[in-house]
Amino acid sequence: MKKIPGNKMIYNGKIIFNKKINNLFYHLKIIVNNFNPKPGQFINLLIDESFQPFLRKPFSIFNYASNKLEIIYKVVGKGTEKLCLKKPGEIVNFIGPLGNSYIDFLNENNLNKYNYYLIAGGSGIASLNFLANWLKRKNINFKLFYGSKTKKEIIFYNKYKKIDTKFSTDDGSAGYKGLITDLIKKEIKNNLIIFACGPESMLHCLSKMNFFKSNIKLYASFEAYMGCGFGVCLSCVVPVKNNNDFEYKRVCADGPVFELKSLIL
Amino acid sequence: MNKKINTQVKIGKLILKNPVMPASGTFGYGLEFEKFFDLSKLGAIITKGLSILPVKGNKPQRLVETPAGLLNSIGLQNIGIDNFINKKLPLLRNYKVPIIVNIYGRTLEEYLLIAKKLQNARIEAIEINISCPNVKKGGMQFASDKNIIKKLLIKIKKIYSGTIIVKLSPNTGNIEEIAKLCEEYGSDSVSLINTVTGMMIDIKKRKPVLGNVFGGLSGPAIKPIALAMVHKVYKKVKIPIIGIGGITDYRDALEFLIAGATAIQIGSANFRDPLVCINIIKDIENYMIENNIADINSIIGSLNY
Repeated sequence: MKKIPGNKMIYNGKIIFNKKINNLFYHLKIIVNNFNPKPGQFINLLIDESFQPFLRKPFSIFNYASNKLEIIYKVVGKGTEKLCLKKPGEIVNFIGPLGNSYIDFLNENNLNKYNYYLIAGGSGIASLNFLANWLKRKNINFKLFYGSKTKKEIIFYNKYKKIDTKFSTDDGSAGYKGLITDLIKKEIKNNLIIFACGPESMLHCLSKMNFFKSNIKLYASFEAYMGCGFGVCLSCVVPVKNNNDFEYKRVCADGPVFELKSLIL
Repeated sequence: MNKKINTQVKIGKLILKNPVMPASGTFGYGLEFEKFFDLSKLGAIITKGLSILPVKGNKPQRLVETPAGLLNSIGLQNIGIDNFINKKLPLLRNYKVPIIVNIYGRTLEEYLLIAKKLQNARIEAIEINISCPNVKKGGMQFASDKNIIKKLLIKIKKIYSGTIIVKLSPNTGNIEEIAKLCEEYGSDSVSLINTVTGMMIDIKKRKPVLGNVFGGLSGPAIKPIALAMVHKVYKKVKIPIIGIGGITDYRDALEFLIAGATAIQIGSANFRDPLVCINIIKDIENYMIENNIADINSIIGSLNY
């Protein structure tokens, strides 16, 4: 499928598959050419021509390779209820790639100077997977931490196990029993860059940890209710520190990735 | 464009090459849409509401989807008039398109200060927001207070010589009277409707979904309300009306023109489809060609019953 002529950001893609992969998540794969996303960016997808839902819905990019775009999603409302019924061959329209990237915070000349931790809480894996693939391709060592309620909700368990992922589950059904943030505490070392994506409670917990005193950099991808996804409606804002005051910044256009310490949580 | 058809309309001293423009608050400062299409194709650009000083806006959650529409309470977050004039305006001037600056003040004096700055910056038109429901001060009080509107128009006309448009609220209960008043005191045009006050409740938490409790409803859900108000106002005033409310395609746009609007604004639909404005412009032209309509002005107010 081609880019819609006359603009640089609106695409039509053809669905290769759209399937349920466990009791919680769906996996959608779309063919789309000339798309050039970076890890951490997202797409804003038009569910259909009806006004139910009226707005596009944002999805993290799980992977993009060989003209194939993948997203992972949960059914949470009217939009995803309809999305999960879409069949291979159907065309979906989306805007993207949107937002900044995890790698915008890296200096490509000294990538090997640091250790990298990727912390995924639940559906946070939908955004960090693409970063993991990127680091792998660059031959950069990293460690993935993946927390979930239970093993059943972990996606691609075997694939992540192969790359020595540290799991945590609330019920102990896979890896460490307890919170992912407790698991991290035991693994902290120097020269660390942490990328995190997960529920607000997880980010909150991370922001409370004493990382900032040492030479650890912590960047997190945020979620917020979006109207447009491309920076005009000013809905998806988060409070960012500004001297002794704060200002509202847009998750869709200034983020979704922010240095965690710059935010007021 | 086909040379046989005329899509040009006039709002005060402003000549628009077509009657289609984005609604304030749904188009940023215009430049955000450069990546989607050539801004010169629009009838006009209308900026996000600007105030004398930068405004932080309301605490989140600021927006939620509703059946066929959305509720918002952004709270007029904006960079302030000086930042607009110094940083955004020079870039916008690269496009051959009239710029209408939407303005908002907490007091009458603030409106006048902004108007003066826009006069100096040679802005060709202002749209005065007397009706944003999402800010506690000003906002609604202005929208329904005839005395203040009267004073505001008398004073602003002494300072500002461009085209003046007053944006009207559907929430005052007397939109026709307010429109009439605006006409009497020299407004060149009225634009309507702003959003309809609404709310949504989270039944689990028994809390309002929006941080500001109330918000403004927009989108297709309000189109019939907007259309009725445009038509009622059309019967009361002679100044051109700019129709706003739930327009998503050329058919919606034509309904507003037939009801009496000289031009239209597209709001929420920009979020769903960033190309909606230029698609509507193209589709109106095609409609005119197919139906042998030489001049768009012959459609305006052509409703018969």
